[in-house]
Amino acid sequence: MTETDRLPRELAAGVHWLGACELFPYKGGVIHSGDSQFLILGDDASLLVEAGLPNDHRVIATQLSTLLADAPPLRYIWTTHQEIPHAGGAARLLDRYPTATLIGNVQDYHLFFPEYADRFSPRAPGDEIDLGGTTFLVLAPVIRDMITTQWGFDTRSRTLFSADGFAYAHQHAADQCGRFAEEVSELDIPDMTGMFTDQSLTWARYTDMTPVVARLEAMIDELGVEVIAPTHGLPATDVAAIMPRIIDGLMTAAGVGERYQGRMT
Amino acid sequence: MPSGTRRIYELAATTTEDIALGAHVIRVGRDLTAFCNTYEVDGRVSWHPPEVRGHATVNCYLLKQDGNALLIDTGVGAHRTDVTGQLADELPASTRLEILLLRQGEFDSIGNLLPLARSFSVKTIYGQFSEAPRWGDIHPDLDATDGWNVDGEAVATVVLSRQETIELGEGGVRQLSVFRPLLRLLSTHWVYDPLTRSLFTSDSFAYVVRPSDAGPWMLTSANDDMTGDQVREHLMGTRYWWLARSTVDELRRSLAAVFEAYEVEQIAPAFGAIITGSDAVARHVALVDEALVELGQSSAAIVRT
Repeated sequence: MTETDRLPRELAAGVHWLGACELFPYKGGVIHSGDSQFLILGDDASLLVEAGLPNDHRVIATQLSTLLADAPPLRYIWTTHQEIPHAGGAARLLDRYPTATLIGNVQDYHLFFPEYADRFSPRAPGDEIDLGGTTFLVLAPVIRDMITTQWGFDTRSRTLFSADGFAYAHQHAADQCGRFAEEVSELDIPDMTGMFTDQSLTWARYTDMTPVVARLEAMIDELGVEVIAPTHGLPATDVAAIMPRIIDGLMTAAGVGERYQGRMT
Repeated sequence: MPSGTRRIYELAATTTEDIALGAHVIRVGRDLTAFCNTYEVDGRVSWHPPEVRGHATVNCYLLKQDGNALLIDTGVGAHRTDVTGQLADELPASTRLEILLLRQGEFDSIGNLLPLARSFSVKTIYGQFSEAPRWGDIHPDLDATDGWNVDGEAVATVVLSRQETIELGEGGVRQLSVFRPLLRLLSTHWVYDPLTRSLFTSDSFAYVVRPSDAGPWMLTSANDDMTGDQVREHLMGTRYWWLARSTVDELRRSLAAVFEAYEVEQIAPAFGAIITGSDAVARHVALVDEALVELGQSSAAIVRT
């Protein structure tokens, strides 16, 4: 885990980017993958997107304390799915914020954290959460790495929270940590997206990604997405610019077999 | 079985010891013990199709050899006390323990890593990512930065490659083959133990649900009522939804190759009953292969010996 002093950083009006980077050996060097959380500040309540990798819990605690000092209380912790990099910090957060509720697809958590079973509240795609001045929409995902995965959308900032969709690594040595996608024009996003897809979305190798890409483009258009906030990729505030590079990476990863023979990890 | 008891099974001798409800310790083979701790399949567990009802188990496996021990997976938080107690019952105090996580990024694999590491002398942790102790730092009452030295020696963490061998015990008498299967959802390894001819398949073949938490948690040809429809519905309703309309030839070939390369007497999954006996193993390999064919797009017959 590597902390960057650029975070927390305001991503859009009322949406803040938190978290840290994870390090992975790659092609003889080291690349970074973001392990991000996002805090949505409504007028009445706040919602945290993702509970984060446990590695980062001290960093997240400090960042959250700073952001919530003069903000509406943290009422909701929404995890996109039940995987350690996305939900590993759930119990620590529930412990630290006793009035918060874990929402989303909350299957399995009663087995993982039985002592907090009365603080899980299911939400399904189509559900809306009124935060005051903005609404958080729970969406069915276009790209998922678990059957339980959800995506989300903040109506005020028109930010799409895409979990492992739009996931790609970045270069620490090139000072790319904590930057938006638009600020790292030299990053080979198609290659990084292809690598991440190959490693984390194994099913993409065996699947025709053309309809997936079509659904992705349709969702972006229908919702009027202006900001994309992936858990592992760099956030993008220029959707039109990032989309072709992401799609290139997704299509590259599809149907190529076991492309990355070494360890990404 | 009376409430509040658990059974310890000796497959050969069929001895039973009652300790706590839903916590089953099964002697699968020579120096291989399964900790099969039950939970209710009630629509709240994502690795079962939503309509399935009954009971299943989260499984951890303990392999012992020459005073060394390897635990495969650590179980979920709901079974923290059970797994800790089961391991304490099985391990002599002086035993140095290694832990192998088949899916480090998932709670059923890493869920009790920290509690176990605090209670036992763990010398090595194998997993898919670096910093495994920190990945397991999910408990508000524990802290991964505290207590990670055993007798003054730091716990080693090993990131597993695509294929490698782990030697358990002295003199190379028990060499475990560890490899990354193609049939997987997230970062996953399988393990083959030649001594017991057991294949540890993580979330594959992890579909046997029983009406009662009493099991039986060893599936044999005599008590095997799984159908092809159930296997197919399991894959589609849980972690392998993506098989529908996927190209599956490579997956089928790789699965066949595993069972050609290794003589498997036991399929030991992360969830549900252990499949034991060569007939039962062959039947379930065929069931999964048939499900792949029916769900996906397959262009060629896969020859399996």
